[in-house]
Amino acid sequence: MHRSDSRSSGGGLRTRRPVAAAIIVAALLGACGGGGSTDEAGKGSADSSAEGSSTEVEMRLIAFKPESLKVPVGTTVKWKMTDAGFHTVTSGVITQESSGVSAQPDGKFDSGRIAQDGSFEYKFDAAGTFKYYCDIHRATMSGEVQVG
Amino acid sequence: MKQRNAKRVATVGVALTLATLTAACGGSSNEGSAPEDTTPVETTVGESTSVADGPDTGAAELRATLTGLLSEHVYLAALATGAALRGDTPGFTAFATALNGPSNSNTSDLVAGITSVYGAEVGKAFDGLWRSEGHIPAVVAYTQAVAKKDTAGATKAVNDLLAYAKTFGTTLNSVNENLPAAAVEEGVKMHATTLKAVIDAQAAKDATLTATTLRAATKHMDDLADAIAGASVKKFPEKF
Repeated sequence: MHRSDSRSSGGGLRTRRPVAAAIIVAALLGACGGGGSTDEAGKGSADSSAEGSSTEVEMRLIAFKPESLKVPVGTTVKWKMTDAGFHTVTSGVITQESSGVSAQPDGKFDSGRIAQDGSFEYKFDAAGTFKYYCDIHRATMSGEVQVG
Repeated sequence: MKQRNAKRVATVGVALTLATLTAACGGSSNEGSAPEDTTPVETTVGESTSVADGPDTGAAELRATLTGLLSEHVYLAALATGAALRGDTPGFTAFATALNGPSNSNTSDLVAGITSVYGAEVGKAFDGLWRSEGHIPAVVAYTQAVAKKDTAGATKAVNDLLAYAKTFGTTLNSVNENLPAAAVEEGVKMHATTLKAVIDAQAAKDATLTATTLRAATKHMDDLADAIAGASVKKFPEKF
């Protein structure tokens, strides 16, 4: 980026060049600033609110990825289904028992069965830690959203 | 509790080590052994006259381990369903725990085996799949429905198992392209079908039929073990 530097070469024209440079810089800054995120590596971000991993959880390979997500109050989290078969996003906890796994839903949210390429969204309006699990794959598929 | 898992995985590990070392030491003086000779030959690590068991010993060991575990799966499942049908709650709990408990169980041993080959992420996925509500709980649900003569419940349980078979096939294919999804799905469907026959025979209190169907259900697992072992060796030849 060019700086309005008085040490640039030239005689009488020297006093005008820094001003011109400043104008050019200001124009460039005006063109680049504001609106969505900057285009890095050729990828534009169509929606500045869709920061990818910060508000989304992917259901892939029988797991929630990431398993733990931190978001501010008022955030809508989206779970995206990549796996074959079905998953659920059910609030509550699971308990490992000697002969199996039992689930204790708390009723806050339940997506029902989500098929491949489907999704589920939930808005977290209160602070706290919200645990959830997949009701079909209770043994290993659980996650949490930390809101605050 | 992890000792049983570690022991089984260690058994595979020892076998692989022996295979590698004996192969490195070269063949024996009895090189006239017929190809069909499958008698295991005792070797000592580092012994110059040790016999090379062949390049596929690790693969054979994996296949044998998987066959053993999947056969055990069928036997324990049948023991659990038999206990449930005769109203033996302590027996059912004991067999179900041995089958599907969080540790020191048939399921945990299978998971350990898969993890040792495919790594932790796939091992955990396999664990979640194997313990899916559509698998063993569906078998239990079928058993309970049969006991109560609940046709709708039995049908739902069977449908859950069939859906599980499809998901299982697709998921395994996603982690190992050498395992065709349709073939795995068919293998799991066959497993469900043959185990269902065992449960039906148990419910009918037909001991002869129970024994016959149980043998068939167990024998079928040879094919599934063979497919998984073969595909695993193909994907990770360096591990075998």
